[in-house]
Amino acid sequence: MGQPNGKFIAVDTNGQKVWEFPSGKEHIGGFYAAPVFAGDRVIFAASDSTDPSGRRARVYSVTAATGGEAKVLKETQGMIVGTPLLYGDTLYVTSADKHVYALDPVTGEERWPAFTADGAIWGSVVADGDRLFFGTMNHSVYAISARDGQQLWRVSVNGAVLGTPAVGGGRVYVGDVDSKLYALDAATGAEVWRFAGAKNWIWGQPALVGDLLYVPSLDGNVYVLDAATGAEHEEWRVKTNGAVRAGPTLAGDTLYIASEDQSLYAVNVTSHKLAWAPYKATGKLLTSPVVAGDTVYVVAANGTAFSVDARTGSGRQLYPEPK
Amino acid sequence: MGEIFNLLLLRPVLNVLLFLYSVLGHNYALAIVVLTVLLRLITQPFMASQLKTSKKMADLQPLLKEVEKKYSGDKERIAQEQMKLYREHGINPMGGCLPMLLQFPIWIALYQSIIQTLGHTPLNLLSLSKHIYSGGIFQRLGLPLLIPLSSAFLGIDLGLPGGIIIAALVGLTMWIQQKMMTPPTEGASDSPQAAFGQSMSLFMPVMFAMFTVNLPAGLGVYFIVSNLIGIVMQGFTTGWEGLTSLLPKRPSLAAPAQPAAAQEKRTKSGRSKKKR
Repeated sequence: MGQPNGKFIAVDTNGQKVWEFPSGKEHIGGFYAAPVFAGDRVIFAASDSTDPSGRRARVYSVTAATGGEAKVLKETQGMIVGTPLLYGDTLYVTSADKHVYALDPVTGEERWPAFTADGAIWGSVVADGDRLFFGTMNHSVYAISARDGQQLWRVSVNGAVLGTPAVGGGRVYVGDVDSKLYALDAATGAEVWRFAGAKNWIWGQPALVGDLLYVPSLDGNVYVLDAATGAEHEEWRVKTNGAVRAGPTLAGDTLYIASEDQSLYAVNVTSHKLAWAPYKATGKLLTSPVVAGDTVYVVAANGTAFSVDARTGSGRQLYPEPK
Repeated sequence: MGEIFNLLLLRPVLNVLLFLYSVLGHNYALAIVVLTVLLRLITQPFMASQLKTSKKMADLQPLLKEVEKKYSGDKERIAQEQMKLYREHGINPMGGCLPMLLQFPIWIALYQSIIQTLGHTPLNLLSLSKHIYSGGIFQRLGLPLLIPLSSAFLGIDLGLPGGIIIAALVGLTMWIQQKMMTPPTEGASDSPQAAFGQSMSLFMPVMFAMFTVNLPAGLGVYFIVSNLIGIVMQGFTTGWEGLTSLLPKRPSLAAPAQPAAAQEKRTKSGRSKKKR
């Protein structure tokens, strides 16, 4: 995980730091995207600390076990905010420099010439079959071919798209800064319905669970919509006391929601009730939780990591070791 | 405290900036210029008192000098007499500081507004989402739809540090403004007050210029425009003597039209400047 001091670190399940990259006094800048595992390597993006504007970025690949054998897979002229997507044998990287890069995850070689969109891309691409979907800051949603990067369609929405769309059942679900959520036909981009009930921007990736769509909003709510019609199940709305910037994470029948109110919420998607009282962390939770076995991991904006028992909701500060 | 600041200053400044951007052809620099004029108009009552105080202080310098001469060596008496003079002339020596202090929260609000509206990090945008007016009567304005704002102006990214050129312009305009606020006064150049005033008129611009190097260029634009407005206001309030004294003199052309006393004053003033 990235740290505010410009180090990318690996910690074990006991919270002990195993390695850091780069070692010594060097540092590599800000981290906005989550890491990705590719075989025995871990791939992550960081801002270029030598760039005074802080906008250039690099995609690194290091050995997961040691943090060694570092390789720069790609340098971009814009920040990388969206988590790279490893889909098939290709790594798809989006950048605020308006490009989608399709890379060989081992060598960094481009599979096809970078696709140029009409605006900065802050979210990730999401894949469905041989199609990739993403939104831009220039109020557009794109579908491109995963095989050759050719544009399939582009549609305009009201506001800038900051996050990653969700895809399923032949539809693409995408939110914008106009606080709207749009359901688009995945084949054509035609609008099927839109939800206008949120009171603030929709940034995090919606979670499609069966026939329901869980839509996080910076207004502090996670809205539960009928994926077919966009009708809200208001009685199931999850209310938190801070912005929900990141998309919820589904594991089993539980949806884990990180909120800026420093709390981690667990919602049973069958009963629509909280599985346990929200776990209180120390620090704003702005990234999606990660679930491994019976443990939920979440990292606060200040770089502090927490592990929470998925069954009981009891948790502890994992890293750094509490004083 | 922070929430009060956000409610009363940051949000209004930020949203007015966005509104101006939307109605001024999406020109961020122009929006800052117009916002600066508006902020100057709002703070005008305070600024006017500062300008008047600086004028009175300058006029009082000869009398203060006389007091220093008269009670030379008796610092306590000098202080007492000078305070008496200030009272008699209705001057609060610290009165000039208040308008400056009042401007600080506005600068901070504008700084944060620029950082957030041109924000290029996720945290900047997250902050913006909390402060942008979007609901109720503001819905029609559609301010969130302006995102992302265009920050380019004459090849400069107003959201990034402006560098040396912007900083130099900030320093220069502030120096001129400071010079106009403390015009050279006959016989006062050797007094501690005058010396302090002169060193401040150099120290402040240099400090601000250094400060601006690493700030977003948009804030530098605000400082420059604000200083230019200040120069004009100072000129109309206390006269243009301070500004003209900075220009190269051509005594052979001006001398025949000047009264003898004024000519003598100008010559002495020129000598004083040489000493400095």
